[in-house]
Amino acid sequence: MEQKQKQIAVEMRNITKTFGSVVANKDVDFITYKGEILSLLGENGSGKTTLMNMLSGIYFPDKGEILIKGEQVSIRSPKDAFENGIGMIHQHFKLVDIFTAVENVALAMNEKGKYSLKAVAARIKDICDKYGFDLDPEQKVYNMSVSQKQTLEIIKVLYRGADILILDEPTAVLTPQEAERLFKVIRNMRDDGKSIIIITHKLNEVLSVSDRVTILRKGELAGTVETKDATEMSLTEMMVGQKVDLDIERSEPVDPKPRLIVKNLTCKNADGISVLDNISFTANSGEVLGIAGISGCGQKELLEAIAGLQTAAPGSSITYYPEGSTKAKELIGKSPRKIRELGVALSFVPEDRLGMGLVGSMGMTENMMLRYYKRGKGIFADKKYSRKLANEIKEELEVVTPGIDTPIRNLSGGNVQKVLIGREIAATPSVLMTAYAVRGLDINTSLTIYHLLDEQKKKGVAVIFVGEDLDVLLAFADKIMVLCAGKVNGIVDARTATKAEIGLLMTNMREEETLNG
Amino acid sequence: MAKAKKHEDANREPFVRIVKKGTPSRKRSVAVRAGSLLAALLICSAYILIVGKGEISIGEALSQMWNGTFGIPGNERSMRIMMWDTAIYAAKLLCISVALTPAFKMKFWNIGAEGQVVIGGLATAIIMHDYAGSMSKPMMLVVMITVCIIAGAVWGIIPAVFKAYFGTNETLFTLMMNYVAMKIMDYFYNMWKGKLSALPTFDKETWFPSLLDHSYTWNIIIFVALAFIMYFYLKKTKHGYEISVIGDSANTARYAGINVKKVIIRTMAISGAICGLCGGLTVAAQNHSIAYSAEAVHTVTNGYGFTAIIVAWLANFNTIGMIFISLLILFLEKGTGQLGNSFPEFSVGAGNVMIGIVLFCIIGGAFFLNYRLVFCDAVKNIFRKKSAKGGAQNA
Repeated sequence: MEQKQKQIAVEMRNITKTFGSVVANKDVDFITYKGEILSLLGENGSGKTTLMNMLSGIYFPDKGEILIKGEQVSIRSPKDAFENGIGMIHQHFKLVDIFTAVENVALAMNEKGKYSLKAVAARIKDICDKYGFDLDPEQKVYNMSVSQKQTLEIIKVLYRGADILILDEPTAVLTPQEAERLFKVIRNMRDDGKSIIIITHKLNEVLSVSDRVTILRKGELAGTVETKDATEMSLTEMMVGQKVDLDIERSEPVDPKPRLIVKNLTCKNADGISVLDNISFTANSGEVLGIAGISGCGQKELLEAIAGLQTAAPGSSITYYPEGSTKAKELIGKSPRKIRELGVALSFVPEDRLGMGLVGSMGMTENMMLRYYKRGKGIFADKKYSRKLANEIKEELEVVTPGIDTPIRNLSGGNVQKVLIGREIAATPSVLMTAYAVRGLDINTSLTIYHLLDEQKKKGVAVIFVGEDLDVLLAFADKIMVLCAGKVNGIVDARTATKAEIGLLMTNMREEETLNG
Repeated sequence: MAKAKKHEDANREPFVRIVKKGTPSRKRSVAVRAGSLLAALLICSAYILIVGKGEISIGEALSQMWNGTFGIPGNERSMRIMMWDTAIYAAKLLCISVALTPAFKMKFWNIGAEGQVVIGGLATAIIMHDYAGSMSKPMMLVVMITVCIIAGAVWGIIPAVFKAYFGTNETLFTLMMNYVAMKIMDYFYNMWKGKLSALPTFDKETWFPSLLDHSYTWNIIIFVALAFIMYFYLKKTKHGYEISVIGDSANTARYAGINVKKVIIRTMAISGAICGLCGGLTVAAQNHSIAYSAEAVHTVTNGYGFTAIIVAWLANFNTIGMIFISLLILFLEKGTGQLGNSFPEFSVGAGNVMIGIVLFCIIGGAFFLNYRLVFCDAVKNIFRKKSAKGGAQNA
């Protein structure tokens, strides 16, 4: 009975899309009804975004057909998608920074009649009131927080009359509180009869917000279930195709001793603005120090400052205590090379894997050479040691590559990360820093990486782990330091802290600032 | 009505789509390259037929181009003259392309080869003009070579320092340095020339010794050798590795502890030094003089400082491959020159048109290495009907 009342909004039949030799989608069938929230779930690389990009006119399917409200259509461009009432909010926002919210909405609207920002603003206000958005139409985009920008993107799509909204990983950049607010708005939109498709790989969100879940696995449809019948375990099984133990290993710290003491660390960017403001903390050996914070709160700069890639302001100090020795070493003012020459075994897995940690156009061997090319005397670069190491890492971490000389940018994200982490761990570090070590990786690879890091911790390495998934930080780290706008907002015990507590620490500084200013 | 149209519209597939291919196989790259050259040949043929109003056959035109580059087959004297001439110019073009390669691999767009060659040539010329007979011949040659290398290196280092420390745009900077170098040379040229109609060659005592009848034989040997040395420098040495890393990502280089500023300056010193050497050797062993920069012939560079950019790119920064590309460019340049001499229809600009066609096809062909076009079903159907077996269908 209930089924019959549901109206089909979008139907995709037998969709296939290939990129070169990669099959992104294979014979996928997909249905969304009017007035529902559908989660499109799958691991990274399972073809979720590709499938939705075909709805929003970015790609054109190789095979298959698309029906909107029962009528067959051909979506050749984003404009066609809009005409069919489909709007997509991409992971990377497409806004003009120096424009206000209204101007961004009015942009590219080819409305008849007089160009009136006032009229646009009034309509935006209507939309905000209707669904419960909070947005100042006159605010410039560069002054907006990530969550405000996302709101603007959604309003932009609604303004154009979309009734099928696709959100690509909408909560990836939000704090738990902001995500909750977003979900409220999404529910309002559903109740208004709109269809909302959320692309995600976060299980708890799927369970809390959606009505139905469609799961993709390796480009193929793994199934569709009602959310009320699903559990985290059952969904994971469908995503991965096998039973997975979701527990992250966390060993107890053994004999932690201060390894790296950071005091009053301040860094300024090119414009003289402090990106790190008076940061002090201690990283102990045999412990995982998690670092949480909204993206852009100084995580990147902090790790780079320790690695010798940022200039610190006077008064800052980063002291390294080698194992079994009391001779402290000061790292401030030293280049990465100097730090290495001091005998500081520092390994760093940066956020930007191919832009900083590795060279995309080179193979595994040559990427190992980044650390070892200087070995030996003479003008010729040493390749032997690196080739041996590359082979070892390929074996041990099961890197999937046609050969150790295949350019690593042709490898999948997980394999690229294995190459990077493998190299950094092979250097037997005493401090290991990782930034977003599992971003974009599938569940099994992520678990492998947590395992590798935990092994390092057991060996007495001080692990600094910058993460974005609070559940993971709480389950994996020993302590969590929360950064907010370049300041330390608190250091909590990961075994006792709660998600809400950390979420508040991530943002409250900003609220204080707005109150004061 | 409107709705019907919309519906009809909605069912239409895009006429043509661009689809990304995987990494090209060796077979495919060879096929694409061959296809590009074939396309170039076809378009050039059409061009020859149109401009020649059908009176000049393609075979005739091609044989004229051959004669202009390698000499008239069977005529030993013509072949000897033409081949030597082609060899020295190809070698010079090769040398400058080789000089640009380390900078380009580092993504430092040095388009100042022209100026670096000129300033090197001028430095050597000053020694030849002002110090002739003041020292022993071997000493003289050593000084001549040293100064041109230093002058070229300095001309390369200046923009590199500004790039490394102040982040200036190297493309504009090196381009402007060209004109500075040319004007300095013009100053010396005018000063030395005085009231004469042209600058006479420098004292024979300062010329490079002859080898196989030509003093520029040395140039050919040195320039070709440099191509091989540079190949190994870039592939095998620590310096070469550092250059590759910076070229891909300066951030990765910093992360790996490479002193990026130092490498930029060092690499540009090498790039400029080789350009300077090319200029110095051209003056010492080939031209024995300098020319006013606006003159078309007998200038130190022949404009090769710019042509070399194309050579380096076409050869995909493989310095040994540049030997063949340089010869191809020379064939086009000299061949079309000869074509213009033989047929008045081709006397003005035709050479450049044909060079343009060939380069367009080669560079444009690279698109098909990574992408292919997919036409809509309607087009496919026409195609299918034509080829009864439809061998192209391999989805």
